[in-house]
Amino acid sequence: MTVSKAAHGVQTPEPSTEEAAPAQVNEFLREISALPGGEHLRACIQCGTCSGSCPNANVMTYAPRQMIAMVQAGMEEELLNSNSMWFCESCYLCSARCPRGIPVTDIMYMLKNMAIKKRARAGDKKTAAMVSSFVDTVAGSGRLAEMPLMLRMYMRTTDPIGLVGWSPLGLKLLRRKRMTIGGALKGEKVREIGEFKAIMTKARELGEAA
Amino acid sequence: MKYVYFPGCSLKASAGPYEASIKAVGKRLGMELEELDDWNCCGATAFLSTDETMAFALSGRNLARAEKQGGTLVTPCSGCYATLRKADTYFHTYTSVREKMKTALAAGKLEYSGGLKIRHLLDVMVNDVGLEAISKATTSPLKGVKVAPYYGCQLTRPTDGFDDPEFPQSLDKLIKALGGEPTGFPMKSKCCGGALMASRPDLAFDAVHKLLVSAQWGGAQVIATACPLCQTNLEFFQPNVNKAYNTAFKMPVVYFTQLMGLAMGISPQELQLDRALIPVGDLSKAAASAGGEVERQSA
Repeated sequence: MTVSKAAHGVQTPEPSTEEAAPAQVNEFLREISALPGGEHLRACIQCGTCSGSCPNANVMTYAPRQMIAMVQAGMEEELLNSNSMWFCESCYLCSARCPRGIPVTDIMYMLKNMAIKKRARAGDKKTAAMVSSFVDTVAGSGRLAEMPLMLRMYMRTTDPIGLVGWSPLGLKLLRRKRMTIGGALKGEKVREIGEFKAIMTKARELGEAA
Repeated sequence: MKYVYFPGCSLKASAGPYEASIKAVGKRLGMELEELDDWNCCGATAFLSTDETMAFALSGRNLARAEKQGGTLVTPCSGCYATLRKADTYFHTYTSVREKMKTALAAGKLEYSGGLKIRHLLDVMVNDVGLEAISKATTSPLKGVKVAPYYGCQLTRPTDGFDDPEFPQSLDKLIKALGGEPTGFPMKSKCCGGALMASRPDLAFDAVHKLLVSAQWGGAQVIATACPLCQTNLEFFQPNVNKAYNTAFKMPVVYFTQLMGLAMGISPQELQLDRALIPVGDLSKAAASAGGEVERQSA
């Protein structure tokens, strides 16, 4: 099946030659529909309310309405390698407005989960690096510390100059005691770190098995 | 009424003034806020983006510990609120999620039965403490002070929250109860750019710029927020936005509890208003000094 990467319109799958094929349920759609929240996706009527509500639709390769159509059309590779879901701010306006009750923001999360799991080429490397740096920072200590997060993120993107760009703000924050050197570097930790890590290790296993 | 207070990571760092003002105001109003013992990061949008099972387990540890501690969970952070609420909703809606959460928690000898109530501090202030009690506690009304009520996105969305998802009123009413004047603010429930400020500031600056223009349009002299990340994006990055859009905004951005404290006669020092990057100054002065002059871009 050939698929179009054009930003407008999504080709529908070629009609099945098999008789009485259970109409157009491709593997990608089946996979997403099986995830919690994904069962709503097939109710989409392509009205475009989600795209019209999205603050970042203008910079997405595929806007939310198109993304849903692409899942329905089985265009997994194009979608998972795109920048679209990485530009979701999780503002939930699409979810609040969808006339079919589709949790569109949650579907964005699913697509990000999938892109990471299937090692797709991150459509927006910086945001993907920020997200993984956040996860690594919290998985270690149970709480977020700002400096380790920023250091990790810029190491991932190998952009030391970008990091230096934050220094004027850093100095201002230090002056107003909105940040302290010790606090920024070390951050806080949960007390029962053993309990915390046991839960996270088990969850990681369960997530990988799914 | 006893509340299990879930501060979230920001309130122990850059949003310290939010916590200071919550404690001062809570004390004045006779609220019992008991910090959740050994809480952890809610996981925010980052964990949900990476691995949903880990995200729900992370939230689950907080829910389990809060349930054990007893009382309604209250958080002043809209991000924590939305994340914990999502974990709880999915726990109740999907058997598969519930089983995984229980299995992961059991590895740490914890248990969650799903009986916890999760609330945002603004909801508790307006609907439990009540506007009447807040009015009564107001000794220095914010007379003539024009405040843009900024709700942001995760405070009232997606649905089934304590206020309308798109046209919320709680903060407007609270500002009135304090004697202030909530301004017209068409963008009041639009997103501040969230975590994209760290990775794609170009996109987040656009969001902040629109919010500042909208607040100024309504004649606001100060913006009130109910979320540490909204406050960060709107205040810390105003100079960057001014540079990118050729504007001159110097709009103070305070936590709503700081405004409550001022109206209750609590000192600016105790409310840590001296830690603001954009000075709040004397709010009783006219609104004229607050707004930046917007030079329309030649689009």
